[in-house]
Amino acid sequence: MAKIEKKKKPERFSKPIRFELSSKYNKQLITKVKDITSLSFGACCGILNLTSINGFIFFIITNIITSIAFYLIHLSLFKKNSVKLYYENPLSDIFLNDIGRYLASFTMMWCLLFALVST
Amino acid sequence: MALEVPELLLDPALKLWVLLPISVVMVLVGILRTYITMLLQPSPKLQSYKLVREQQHLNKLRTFKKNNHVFNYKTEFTNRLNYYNTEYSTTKYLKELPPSDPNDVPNPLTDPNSSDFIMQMVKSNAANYVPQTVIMWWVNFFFKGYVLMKLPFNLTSNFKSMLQSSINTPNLDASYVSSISWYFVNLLGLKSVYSLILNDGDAVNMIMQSQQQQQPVMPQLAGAGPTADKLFKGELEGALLIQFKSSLENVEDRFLQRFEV
Repeated sequence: MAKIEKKKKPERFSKPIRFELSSKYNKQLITKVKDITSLSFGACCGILNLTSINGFIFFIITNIITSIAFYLIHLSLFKKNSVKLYYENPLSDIFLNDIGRYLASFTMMWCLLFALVST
Repeated sequence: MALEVPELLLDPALKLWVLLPISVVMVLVGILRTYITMLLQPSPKLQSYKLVREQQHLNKLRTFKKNNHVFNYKTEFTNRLNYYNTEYSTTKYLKELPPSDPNDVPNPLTDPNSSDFIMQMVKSNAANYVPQTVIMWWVNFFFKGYVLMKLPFNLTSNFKSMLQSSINTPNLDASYVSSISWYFVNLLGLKSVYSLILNDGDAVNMIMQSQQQQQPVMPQLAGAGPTADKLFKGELEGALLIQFKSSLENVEDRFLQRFEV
């Protein structure tokens, strides 16, 4: 019988198998949550009359808060270590993906509400 | 140092009659556009059984390569490999015989299939670009010549020529912009609004769709990409190089090791 090397996992079985449609759906869940939050926080930013760099800082902070909240709710709803199961690379999927899109929608609502509120 | 610029007084009626109408029209046109592209999509045509057979056999070979470690014994694997080798070396499963002259590439423009494909691409592109151009023209035509709004952030004066195109005041602060810039802001930012309104991320819809329509084989442009016989040959060569190792090899050792105390 051949000797097997210790402490070395067989590589091809270590990765969980993913169903593409489901992981797509999971990603769309993030997109939906972040769409809604970035639009509404953009509206907030406009109502608060924040200008220039303050507004962008507001965007970054709210975006990070949303991501962290999503992460924590995910952890509390499902069993531990679930974020890794549901997302291939959770960090970039939850925190970084599509940030340009959210920035654009944030800016749109910001401009709209800023123009509506200022007299 | 910086001179305090007095705030420009903007007519509040501008918001009601310019700002909101542009956004509403853009949202509505965007929804209309998605439905038009949906209608323009052709119903999937039946494909010649030879093409489907060729694709299925290619897939079979690829799946075999990918999952070769599920066999228990090497003989199982080699039997199959030999079978595939003899079957797929012939031209039995090809849609059409390979051209005798390898340099003879068919002209993609004369093939009826590919012209259909190109027509489809042109149509979907037109459905994307025509409405945008029309709205841009509309905004430029009806709402030009005045300052619409103040943006909440400062822009450098390089943007002046684009965003204050119809206002001839060279020293005006660049954050005061005309209606065309509101159009641009909408153009970038409305994507998420569309996806929320149209709800295209609905999971049930997606799964239903994928079950109903079987993925059609992409209509390949003739002359683009390798021909089928070359694909078969390549896959076979890859399969012949596989070092077979069963996933059940030493499984009892691995099992024991895993549950070692």
